[in-house]
Amino acid sequence: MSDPSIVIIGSLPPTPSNAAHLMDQLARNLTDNGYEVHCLIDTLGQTPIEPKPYTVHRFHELNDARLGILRDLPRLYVLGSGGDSLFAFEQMRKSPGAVIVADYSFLPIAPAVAAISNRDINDIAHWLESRYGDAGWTAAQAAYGYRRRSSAINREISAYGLVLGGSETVIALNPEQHDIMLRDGLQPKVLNPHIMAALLPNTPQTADAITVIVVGASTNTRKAVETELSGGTLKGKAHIRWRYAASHVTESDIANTDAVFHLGQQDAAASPLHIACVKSGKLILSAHQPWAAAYQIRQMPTLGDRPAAILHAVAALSQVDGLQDALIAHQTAVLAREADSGLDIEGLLEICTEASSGAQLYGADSKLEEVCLSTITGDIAAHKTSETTALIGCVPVPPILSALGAADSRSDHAKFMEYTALTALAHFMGIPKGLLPSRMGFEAPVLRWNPDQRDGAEPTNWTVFSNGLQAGQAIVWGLPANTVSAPDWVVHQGTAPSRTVSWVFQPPAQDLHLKPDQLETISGFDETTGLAWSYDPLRKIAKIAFMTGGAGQLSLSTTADETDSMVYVCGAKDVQTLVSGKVCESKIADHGLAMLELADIPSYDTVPASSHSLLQVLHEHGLHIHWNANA
Amino acid sequence: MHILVTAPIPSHPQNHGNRARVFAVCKALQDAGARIHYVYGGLEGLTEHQELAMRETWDHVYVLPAPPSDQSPQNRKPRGKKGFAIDDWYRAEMDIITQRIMSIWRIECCIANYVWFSRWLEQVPGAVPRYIDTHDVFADRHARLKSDGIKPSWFSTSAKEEAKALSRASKIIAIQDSEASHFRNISKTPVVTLGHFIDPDFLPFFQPKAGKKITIGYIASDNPINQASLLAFDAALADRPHLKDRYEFKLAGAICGSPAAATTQFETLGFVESARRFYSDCDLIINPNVGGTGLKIKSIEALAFGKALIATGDAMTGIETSHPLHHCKDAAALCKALDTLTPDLDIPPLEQAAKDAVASYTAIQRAALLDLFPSLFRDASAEVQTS
Repeated sequence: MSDPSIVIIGSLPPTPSNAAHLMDQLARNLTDNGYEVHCLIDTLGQTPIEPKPYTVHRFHELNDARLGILRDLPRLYVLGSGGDSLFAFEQMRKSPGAVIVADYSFLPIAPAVAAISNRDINDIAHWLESRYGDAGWTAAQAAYGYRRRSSAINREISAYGLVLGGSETVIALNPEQHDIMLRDGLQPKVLNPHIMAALLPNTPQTADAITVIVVGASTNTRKAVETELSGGTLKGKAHIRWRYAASHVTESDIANTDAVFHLGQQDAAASPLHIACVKSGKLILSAHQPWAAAYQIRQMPTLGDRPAAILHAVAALSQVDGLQDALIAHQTAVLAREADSGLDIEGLLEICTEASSGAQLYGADSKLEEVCLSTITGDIAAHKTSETTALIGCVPVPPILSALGAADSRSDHAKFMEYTALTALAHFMGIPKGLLPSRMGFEAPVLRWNPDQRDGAEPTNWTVFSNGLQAGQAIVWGLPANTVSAPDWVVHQGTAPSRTVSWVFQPPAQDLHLKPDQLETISGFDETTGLAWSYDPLRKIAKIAFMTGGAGQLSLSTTADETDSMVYVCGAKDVQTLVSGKVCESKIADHGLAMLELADIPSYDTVPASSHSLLQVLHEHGLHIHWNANA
Repeated sequence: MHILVTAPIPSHPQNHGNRARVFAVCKALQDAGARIHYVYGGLEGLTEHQELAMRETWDHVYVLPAPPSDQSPQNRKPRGKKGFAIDDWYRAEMDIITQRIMSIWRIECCIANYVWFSRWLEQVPGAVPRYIDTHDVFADRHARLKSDGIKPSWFSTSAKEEAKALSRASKIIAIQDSEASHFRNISKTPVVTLGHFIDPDFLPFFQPKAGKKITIGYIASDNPINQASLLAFDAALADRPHLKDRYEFKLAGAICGSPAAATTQFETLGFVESARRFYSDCDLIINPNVGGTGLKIKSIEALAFGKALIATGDAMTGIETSHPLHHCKDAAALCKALDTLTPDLDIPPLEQAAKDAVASYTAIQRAALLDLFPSLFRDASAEVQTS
């Protein structure tokens, strides 16, 4: 009999979110317990750190043909309040399953979830008002009217009921989250805390020294602690080996430590790190996080992010005989008591199976390559374009047109999009089909070839399209194969474009960095480079599209800092990591459209408000795009 | 037939009289088979929702981005008592965009909305019909508003400047006969009157509801003329407070956000999604228009819905009707009419008068369209006569 299987959907480390960390821990522990675990992450999610004991699938790999057994497996969604969870929210709408919430509050992500669910953002304010009265209304105004992000408000308002709505099967991570969910109108089951983390090996430490890992300390705290230890009151009094970790700690780090001072995960609903440490007999001191209260460790020493508190705790641990043992015993007893109730692994699988029944897992949309488009044009220099030429289909962008010998043709000729390419581009850019042609310098009417594609608009054939057009001839790029009946005035040429073009981004004349509303997807079109772009501020993804006119090879490189890396996706399926010194190459098919995405743009927390500012961003990261139609 | 239309205003949504006018003309032409190239001159800004609605309606839409507020032509100051020079609010980019459209498409007719947004017609080849849909008389407009006790706003120019614009066209479109006479006096260009036409969409007859107040509606955009009219009506209503025992007054449209609405005795509904729904919910419509210029589109709209309308004479300028309650002298007379009204007896005849008036009005406008666009409307007209 094969192992029981489950699909967990969300994000994974190194994405620095509570949801990613929790999903990793759950997947590991389920795998350890004999389950076959498949983790499904966004195509643009950060590349998981290998090796993993479970299987990881990126979404683009799951087209309908490759969904296989995953389609009907029980599903578990691990949701948080960061942009990395939006992918899971989108999937959950299509393919329901059981839900675990990693963060203490959904308030930060509520507007984005409303946007992808086509809900009115005013619903949030109304919900908060109905739940919390005037205070709720005031909180909504502060958060969304005045854009005041407050961790204090998040600690007060979970907003689980607002985002989840009540129809989902929800699993609480601890009794406190269970109570909050109940107040929000949900009907949660509580998870056995042991499921959140595996039992780690415990390496005995030497008696004369304490090894401490401080997790989530600020740089200033770190410096102050080190200064105090080197010359302050604790000098010579304690033998302590200090280590620091940004947010999460590896298994081997925990195994080789005596105590974890956990200052991070202030916004988490539960801490797998805490559970793992306690299960492994380690001492853990917390800092007033919500999950610390949930596990009744409030009587124990708690720390703020203050050097003095840390040092006092260390001093106490090193000076009071038996304190460490007493604290560990207390923690272990609390955990054991909580473990008496709640869902075990079998119960979790049962609930996931029930919640997933009646709906299958959906795969990624069809790729542009699966659409029958082909290029029927070539060296247009021989047909030097005149004022009476129409450019139709995936008309190459100005730099490519110039390289092809049509330098004067950038704005003098009418350009017309073809419907299939328009649909693909509009979907990719997140811009309504009705607005996209004009945004990219195309005329309004769009050629359509297949009457079966009708979606409310009348199909446009050659006769209708050419009525009233001054053009005496047309050149076409990237049209469906069934265009053989085009009239004589369409110039057909047999050879492919054979030029190379490079974009090396220079600093623009203006530097416009604004911070528009976090919900807006900013978009634009730069006439000179021919790049259409959009930026998703929540996911922090820049999308760039341009028309090549035909097949070729796209190369990307960057001269950015060696430590920086970006996730680069071409055509929604070719995922690569873009680092300094490496050239990412992708083949573009004959459809004549290059569509690429850049995620994790380093050190970039503003939003491009114009094409100028996007070009500035690309320049700052030394991005170089090279197109070679000969390849 | 490709028709190039320019306007300083968007065509959507039709919650202002001038937008309703532009929309009605273009839609009639499109329904008759024309392909509309609509150029929006960007004087009022544009939301994505508006742009999408326009692009879904017209065959081709071209949008001139709004200028920075400090460079907006509307921020310019009038040149003395005569007001603006005729092209002071014009945007030079219009020349470029219209030339480009004509180089790509075989444009067979050009229509400029507003005399002060018509300079591009000078570049149109003489063989192509060139019309200016005037919307209003702008010569000495500020002076006329002042004499009606309304604070002057928007565009005003001299008759000489207005005539200069009229000479750019091969035909002038006036929205009512009195304005046509004015244009004929100052210009040799032929003038045709084309009122605001709208397909009648008669709502159900008035049904008396026992024990319930009669609902009176007033829908208006926010401009000084409408504000003055609302203030005048509120003042007249204050003299007859007992009217509120019999009627409930509902105000809709952008005027609800104006200072005049702050103290009104109407219940303010703000912008309503559906004008039809608003008219349907009212038993009686009023238009207490005081002075002002141009055709009162909202009067035509009320008639086209077959609603009982009580209006001032100013509100009905350009609309032929014989019912005395369509010609109240002023807001006070309108209130007096409400005081003496017996709804069960008086509203049905008012509804019939509205239907008669709009039928005759629409027939006149159809004839004018035939005159302006004979090749487009000849077939449609023949069909109507045969049937």
